Amino acid sequence: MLVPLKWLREMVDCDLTAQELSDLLTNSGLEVDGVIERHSGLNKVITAKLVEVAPHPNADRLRLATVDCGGGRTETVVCGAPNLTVGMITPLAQLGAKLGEDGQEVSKVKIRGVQSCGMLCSERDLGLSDDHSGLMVLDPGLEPGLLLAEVLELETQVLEISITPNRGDALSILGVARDVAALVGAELKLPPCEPSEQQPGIEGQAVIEVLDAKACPRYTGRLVKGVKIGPSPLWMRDRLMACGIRPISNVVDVTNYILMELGQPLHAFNFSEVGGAKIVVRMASEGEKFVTLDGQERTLNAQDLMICDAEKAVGLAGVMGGLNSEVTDDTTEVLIESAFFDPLTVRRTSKRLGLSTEASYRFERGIDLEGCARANSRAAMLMDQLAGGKVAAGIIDVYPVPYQAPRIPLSISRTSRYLGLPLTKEQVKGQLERLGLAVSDGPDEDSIVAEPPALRTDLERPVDLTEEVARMVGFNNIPSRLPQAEIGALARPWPQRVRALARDAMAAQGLDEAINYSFEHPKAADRLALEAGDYRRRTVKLINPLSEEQSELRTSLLPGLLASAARNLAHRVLDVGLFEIGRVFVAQEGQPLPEESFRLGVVLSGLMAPASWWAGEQPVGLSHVKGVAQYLAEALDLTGMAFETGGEAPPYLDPAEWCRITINGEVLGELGRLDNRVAKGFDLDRPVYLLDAHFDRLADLVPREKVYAHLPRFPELVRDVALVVAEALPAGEMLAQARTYDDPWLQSVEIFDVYRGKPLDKGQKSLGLRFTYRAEDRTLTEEEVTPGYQALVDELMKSFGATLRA
Amino acid sequence: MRQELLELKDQALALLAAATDEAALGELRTRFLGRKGLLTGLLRKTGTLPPEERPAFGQLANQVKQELEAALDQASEDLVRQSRAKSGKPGVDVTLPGIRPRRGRLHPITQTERLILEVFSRMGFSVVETPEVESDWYCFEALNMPPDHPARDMQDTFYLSDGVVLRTHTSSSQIRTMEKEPPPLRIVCPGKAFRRDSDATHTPMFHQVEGLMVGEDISLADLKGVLINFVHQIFGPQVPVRFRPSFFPFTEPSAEVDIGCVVCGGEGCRVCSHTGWLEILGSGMVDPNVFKNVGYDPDKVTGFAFGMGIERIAMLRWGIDDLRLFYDNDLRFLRQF
Repeated sequence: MLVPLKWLREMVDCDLTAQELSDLLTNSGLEVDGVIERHSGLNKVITAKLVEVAPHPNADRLRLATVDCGGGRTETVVCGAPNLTVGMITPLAQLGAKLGEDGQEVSKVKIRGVQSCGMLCSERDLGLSDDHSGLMVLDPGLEPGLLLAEVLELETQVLEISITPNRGDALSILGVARDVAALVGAELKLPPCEPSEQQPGIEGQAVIEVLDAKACPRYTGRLVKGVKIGPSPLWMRDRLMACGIRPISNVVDVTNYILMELGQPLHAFNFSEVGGAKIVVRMASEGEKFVTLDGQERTLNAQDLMICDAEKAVGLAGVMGGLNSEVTDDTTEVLIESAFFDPLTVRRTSKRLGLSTEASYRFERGIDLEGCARANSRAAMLMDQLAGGKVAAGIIDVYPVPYQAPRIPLSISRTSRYLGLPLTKEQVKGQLERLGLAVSDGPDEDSIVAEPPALRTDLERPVDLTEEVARMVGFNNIPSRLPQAEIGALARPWPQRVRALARDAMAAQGLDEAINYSFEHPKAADRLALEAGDYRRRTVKLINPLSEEQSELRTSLLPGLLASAARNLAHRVLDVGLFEIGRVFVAQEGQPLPEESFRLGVVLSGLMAPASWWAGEQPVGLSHVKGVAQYLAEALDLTGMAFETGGEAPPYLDPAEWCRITINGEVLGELGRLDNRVAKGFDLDRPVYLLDAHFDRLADLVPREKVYAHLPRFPELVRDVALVVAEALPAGEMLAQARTYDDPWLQSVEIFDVYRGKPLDKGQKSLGLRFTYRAEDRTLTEEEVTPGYQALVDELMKSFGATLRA
Repeated sequence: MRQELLELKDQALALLAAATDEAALGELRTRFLGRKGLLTGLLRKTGTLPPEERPAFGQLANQVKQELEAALDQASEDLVRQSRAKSGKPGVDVTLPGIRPRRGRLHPITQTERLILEVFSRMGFSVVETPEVESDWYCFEALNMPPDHPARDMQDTFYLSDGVVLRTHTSSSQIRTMEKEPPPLRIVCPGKAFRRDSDATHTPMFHQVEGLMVGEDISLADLKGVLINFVHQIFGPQVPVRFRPSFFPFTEPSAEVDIGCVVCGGEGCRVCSHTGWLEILGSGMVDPNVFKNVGYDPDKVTGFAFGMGIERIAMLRWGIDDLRLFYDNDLRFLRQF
């Protein structure tokens, strides 16, 4: 909310600067976002008295105006305005003044050969209105040489305040002034609201009937006749503009002025259009149509509250008036509505119609039930003063159930404990009273009973009062201490621990962690070429997405990772190794919430490590992405991880380079090379390798306990062999057979070398196998090991048609 | 003769000091210690001494011999080192980059989340995680935001279906935990949250850490103590902390926590919008209605809750000026952390 400072100071005497006020308010719950400086271009604009007008020697339309600038100084200014009158007081922009939106500086210039030392200004020149018909005419009684902004009492500083939704009472200048007064201990000065009543009583001239007292607990009306629609005075227009409201006409401006000043939304009906001189407040009928002030036709329902006359609807209560009873330039009789509409009713209507106004915003947050009549009278008074209206005597006030303040008990000792601040009863009482609450003693020594004024709709419970006390004390004056508590803590849940370990293990392999949006494009499953029945097509859709791209929740990490890889490649970062551990969401039949599970995704492209002098360039391949899985298994102590190729490859993987990741036979994911066609759809034109695994399931399989194995007491004996086999033989098959060979001393079999090339034939490769033997009870000798070793090698040669490499 | 022996030693050591190559050392070794060497020659003369002096002389001569041998060995090793120092080892280029595996990095969000959780873990807070897709109850209603409450406007919500939302804050974790665990409680809940907002300062997905402490007589002073301690651990003990009354439906009173701007030191700059303060978290005393909603007795327990954006803290920590960088997964960005 925008709070012009001069306006604020009218209601509370305080000599704090804008900055001090900002700090004070911010520290007590009304956050000041900033101080807006207005009319800064006017700092060199003064009042000047026109003493002489002479023709311009070189131009018919221009004249030379000599002005008295005060202090005995005169200046000559070239001016083309039509209304130059000797003796008039008009604004002079002196040299250096910066006017207009672009802040153009007034400088010493020659206009048609004559020096002009400044500029005489119209209202538009000064940014005060659109009027550019002539020089601005000021009060002829003014001295020359005064600063214009001060003479006109323009609002030069405005506080920009963020009002939290609970503080509807602070959505006005008065509301802010009330807090300031309470905080600095100054008196709050309510603006005058006694119209001089010069017309016969309103009773008999107008009737107000409220049919739904719950939706409209109070409705007041005042009648002003003989108004003359015209512009408002400058001071009012300036204040409205300072609040961000465009001035319209005196009558409408008065309603907006009161809205800002007192926080009471008003509506001015063109009384001659109010049929039967009668206002009826009722709920709309289902499907009823109504054209609001903005010219839009709205379809209403039975929850919308309407303001009607004897025949038709004239306003959408608390939200917007109707086009049919709008105040126009010809209006002479005005019926002022100042009412309290139920916050929930207004909110529902406003939300449903997508129509939020200054009025609805305030009604939704609760206005001052007790202030309706006063605001109405003040409006009538201003319409008298500014629009020449004659106010009918009296006010119609339909207020069947007057405000009954809740009696809120408050324990002083509990408040002290709650805040961690010792408080006395007198302190608490004083603070609440300063905020306008009526406070009396409670049933016991420790307690009080407080009754908040109607405008504080947010105060209902003891804890609400505690907050008020804390606000008045200032949160920064409440002590700070570290709590005393039992030191127990819950164990870190297992999945969290495994996720942390896994992330570290992935980073340790040189992969960088990615975080992608949980959103996904609806086409993502198609882009992965997933089959019709794939579970990843069971997506959850957003009802109100920001864009199509983000209109579903992801069921796979792959599209996000592939897009991330593509972005990097586009930046010419060609060596990509990214991983992500994050949630995916799969819709569950008959369940409101989708199944959320963590998955692990990896994308590799380019080189596994930067090209180096020791390893050269190693383009990533299947073995790298497989290695990622194996390294992870090792880091997590996962045993039983295997890689299978049989059956159908997932459609997004190259069927020649892929495998399934299993643990003890359970399929946990896949890895392999991204299929070329799928790659194109993701704008990837380089080989890309992927891994996708069900992380939660993986984490479940991580052993929670580990038992130490005794260190071997006797040394191991190692035998190597190189076997030449057909190129097509999967090395893993030979490895698997060797590993299951029955020899009690055989501890491990590893492949330490794969060789192709001379002197081997084409279509052949040599596999180097390393067998490690060890006995638990003694040092093995070569002689002991050889027979078993030989038999194993023979078996492998026989099984796989292998020969010993020469 | 004893005198002769000592002079011989001094002479040998002096020559040794002047020797600059292995050849000179070999020559000295032969000259003094060789079979026809000077020391050997002197030893041969032992027989010319009176018998009672012979053992002492013999002992001394031996000692000198050992000393010279050690000195020669030392000089020889020194020469080798000197020569290696001068010419290095052929084939070894010390100026080449070292051989090392590539290092990957955790996402800056993960790193910051860990940092935050670590601070609270040290204060005895347990880490709890709950779903990202939530029912209206956990995300709003149980947190004292009934339907039609204006506070719901504060957060633009993504809806998946009627009553099912992407959580707008990790505060839903509070409810889920309190429904399951009896008081006292001390938890922190990290995770993703979602709001329908996308511009330079908002992404539709972001990360938060929610915190909750419930017990008997937990007060606003305790809240301040814990959060000031947190700020000081993350940003340094010199950073001022300010508590400003604010409004959250699930806390009463509510406070925004500002820290003195870590960029300008409170002088006022673009980052702090010239206020000298940076808002880093929201907090407050748990509203009694929230306790009622989870079956806690607000007359018996009190507590505080807080929530912070991980991105915000990461941005301040590293001076990152564009929120969107966190989700581009641009390796030029990720590899900086």
